Amino acid sequence: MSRSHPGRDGGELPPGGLHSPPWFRWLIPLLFLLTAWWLYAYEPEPVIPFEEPAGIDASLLAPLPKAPRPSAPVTEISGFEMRCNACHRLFESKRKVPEHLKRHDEIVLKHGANDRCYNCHSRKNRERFVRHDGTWIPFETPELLCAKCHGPTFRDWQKGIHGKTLGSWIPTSDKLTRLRCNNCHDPHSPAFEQVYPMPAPRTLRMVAKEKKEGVHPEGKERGKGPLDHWMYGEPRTHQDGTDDPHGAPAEGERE
Amino acid sequence: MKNYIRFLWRCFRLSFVGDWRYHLWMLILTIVALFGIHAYAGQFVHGLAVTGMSDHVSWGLYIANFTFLVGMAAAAVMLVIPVYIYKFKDMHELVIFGELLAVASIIMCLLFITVDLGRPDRFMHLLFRFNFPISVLAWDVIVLNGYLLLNLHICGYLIYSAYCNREPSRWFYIPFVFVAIAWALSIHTVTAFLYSGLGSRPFWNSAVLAPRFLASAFAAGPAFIVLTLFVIRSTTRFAVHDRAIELLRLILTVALTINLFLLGSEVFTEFYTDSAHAASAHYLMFGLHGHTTLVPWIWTSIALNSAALLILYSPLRRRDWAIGTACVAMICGIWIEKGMGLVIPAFIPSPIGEIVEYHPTWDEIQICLGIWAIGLLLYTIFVRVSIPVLTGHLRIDKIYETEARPTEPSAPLQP
Amino acid sequence: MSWDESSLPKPPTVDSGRRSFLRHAAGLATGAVAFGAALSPLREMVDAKHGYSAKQFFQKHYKEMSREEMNEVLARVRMEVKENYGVDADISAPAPMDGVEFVYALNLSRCNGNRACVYACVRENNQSRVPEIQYIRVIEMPRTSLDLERGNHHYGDEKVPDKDHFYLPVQCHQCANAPCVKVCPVEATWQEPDGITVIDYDWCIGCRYCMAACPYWARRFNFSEPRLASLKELAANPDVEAERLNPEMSYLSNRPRPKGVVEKCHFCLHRTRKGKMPACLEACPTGARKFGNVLDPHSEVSEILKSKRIFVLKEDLGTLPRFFYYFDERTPQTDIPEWIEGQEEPA
Repeated sequence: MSRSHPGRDGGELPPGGLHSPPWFRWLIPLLFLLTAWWLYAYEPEPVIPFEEPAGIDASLLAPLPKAPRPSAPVTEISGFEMRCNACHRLFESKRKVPEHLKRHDEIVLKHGANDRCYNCHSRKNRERFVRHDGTWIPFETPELLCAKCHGPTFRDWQKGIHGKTLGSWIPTSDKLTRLRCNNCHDPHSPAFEQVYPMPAPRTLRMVAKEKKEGVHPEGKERGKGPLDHWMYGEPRTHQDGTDDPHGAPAEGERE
Repeated sequence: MKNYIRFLWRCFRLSFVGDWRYHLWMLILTIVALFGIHAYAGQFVHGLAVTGMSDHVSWGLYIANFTFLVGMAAAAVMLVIPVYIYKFKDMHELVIFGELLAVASIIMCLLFITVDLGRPDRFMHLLFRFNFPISVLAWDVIVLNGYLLLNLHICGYLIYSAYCNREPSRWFYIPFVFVAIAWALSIHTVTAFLYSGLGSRPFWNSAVLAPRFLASAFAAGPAFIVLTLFVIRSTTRFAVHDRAIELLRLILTVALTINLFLLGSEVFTEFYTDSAHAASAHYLMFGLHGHTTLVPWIWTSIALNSAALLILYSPLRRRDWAIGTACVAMICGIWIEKGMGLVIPAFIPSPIGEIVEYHPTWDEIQICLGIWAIGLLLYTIFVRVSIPVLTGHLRIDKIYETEARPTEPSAPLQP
Repeated sequence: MSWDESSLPKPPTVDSGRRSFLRHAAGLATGAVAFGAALSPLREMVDAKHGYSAKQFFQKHYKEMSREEMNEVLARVRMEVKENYGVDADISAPAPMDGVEFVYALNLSRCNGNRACVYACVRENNQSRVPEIQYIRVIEMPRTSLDLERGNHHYGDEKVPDKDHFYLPVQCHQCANAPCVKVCPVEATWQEPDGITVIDYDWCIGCRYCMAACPYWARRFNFSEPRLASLKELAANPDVEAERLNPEMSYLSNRPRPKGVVEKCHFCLHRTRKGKMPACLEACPTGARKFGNVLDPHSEVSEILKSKRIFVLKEDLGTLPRFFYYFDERTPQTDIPEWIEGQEEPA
């Protein structure tokens, strides 16, 4: 039977009329009361997973490096502060340095190819540095010494590209301080050591590391880039012959 | 004016009248809405941290539902076009249901936007400094509110004219109907442009996004209307012609076919090129670096849409139960595709490569269900009220049966 | 017509008055009670941190405020900071300097990924610790790639720098053609004349469209009331928030933000507009960060832009960022050959 009734009597009432079972009539207020109780008393507070803030060492944020190098030719010997020439006027240094350093044993010489003290220090006057032609460089301007070998870096430093500028970005400001080479670098061991970084981010709803088994940690997809096999070696195959997307670790690589 | 207020009052009272199934439906919707209001009160106090959103996935379930509902609102035009442009008489009386659906959908959209805002108390700022025409969101505000006003006017005018036993004046609604046709297309296009204009999200930055939005809207909207018409058929005696259902079925079959084609086209472009821009598509369909939350969702959606399409192309398409099943499957499939399948994956991975997944919280889901309940409540009331008016039972000079006083069951009202 | 009038069911008689009235009243009353219960979480608003006055509701956009109105607003912020932290804030609204366009340069050969910049920024700008907000994100990238998807944000178990990686800090680039500025519907974010993209925290409606639009993931949202310490830390030391607060503030930069608004790096404009360096640069122990006025031909950044091989992220998007990365020519430490013993110098 077609259900398209021609529409004279439109149908504002349902076919069964408005009859409803007796118990139903009191259901509505009852359910409202139940809902009210549930919402007011029982519905739990929203749970927001806040992470505890990471504790950091505030001293690591200091603008000046932790141990700025001396800008005067003074050092500490057996607890006394002495000028260099106080001893070196009297004592002759051995030729084959640095193997025979008796004093200054706190110095760790790790200056790459530069492992001869007299490349930098004047043989005749320990309170001076030397240029290639033997002329002296004062202690207060160590950058001229470093420039002997590190020309490009020195030129960058002169323009402000290398190194650190503190205080102001306005070049004519008197608050502007340019740090010198030895303010950041230990001249005997100038390369910055590796450090542990400050804590990784822990933002809202983030999962820091993938803890599931067999799941790739974020970002460590190996073997995908064109140059990766130079870094990570050829992809290694499993015993069953399938490709391992993790490349073989290169020589000396951690992991 | 007094008559209008009286009309509204009578409508209000009429919305409480119905049999036990009606009351049960409204009761369930009301309770769900109350839970939603409660959850939103919690969100208002604690902030959006009660949702599953993060700096990485900064738009979630609210915007997903918003996108889907803008499509539903736009689909009213699929009823209007056959009737007003092609003079398809059998659907003439059903247009109003499409437009009422548009009103309810837009109200739901505005509610979803309101709950998504971090500072809803500052919505007035839109009036003072409005970044029009540069910001597409500003366009969206205008088109959505304009569409709401258009449809409120058209429905209100037609229904109130019928209530007053007056022939509606053509000049008061025909031009608005034609404007509404173009406007309906524009609301969903503007919403699509919201997403597709962003270069930071390669998943969205595609020309095919606006056509996909429209195709899925014109499939899901008529499907919802078909289901509504089935409900009206079974709960009232309002005449719903088979030819109207047939036309709607044709429309949604074509729309769903186009939708699946556009999805296929998008998938091909992403995966054949397989550049870094396809990371979000990878995440959605196959998982990325072990994160596979959305994979079952999208494949379910594709399965549902395909099943619906199969039914609609098979000989079963003449059976009402098959059409109804296909409609339900389609609405679910398109809801997933527009929500999980379009809004969320664009945020994963983040623009600088981090993967943080999105899991809606229970509070968020409650708010979404609450807004859906409010929308369905509104739509039910609209339909509940408009049918008696249109069929001549609720008129300015008639007493509706249940308004009858015990002593005088059918005395005419004094005008 | 196909129907017989008598076959229609009779309209039901209306229930007798009193019982139906009681039922309807009961329904309405319990409904109202349930609605009230639904709104019950709002009772916690009474203890909220920020008071909310009518004046605040009608506060104008930053660009439209007169000097007097701005001073009133600053006074209100000062009062709020005093109430919430017990600290006297020194808050200002510095104007951009003339003839200045800020630019940031970052030497990727020097960055070792230690993240001092991240935490210096957090401290300087009063960023929320709970939940954690950090404007700067340092990414550990493989040496052979610039594909950001291959970066690792969560390195930290091993010492840095790792020889096979370089470190890429990312923060707001203050783009000259910023997509975030384009999309904000209420103009709560805009480019200032000195190049900094700023946010008016009292104007933002929290729609987060700018966060979707930013290609560098530079923007953060206050999903809840920002706190400078967790409850555990507060229990251990009730003054911890006052200790952590940086009282040097400005309206557009590091004053305590309300819940529900977006924030991001602003080149420390409360410092840089007064001639100082940003906090991230001051904390960087390797000197990788460079900042200055690109309109001054003698500034450090101008020299970098003139002489170094610089690049920007996602250049193809046309955002014109003001953040330039470069590498120095530099041989890694591990590649220094073994020293070849030289001839002994004749005596």
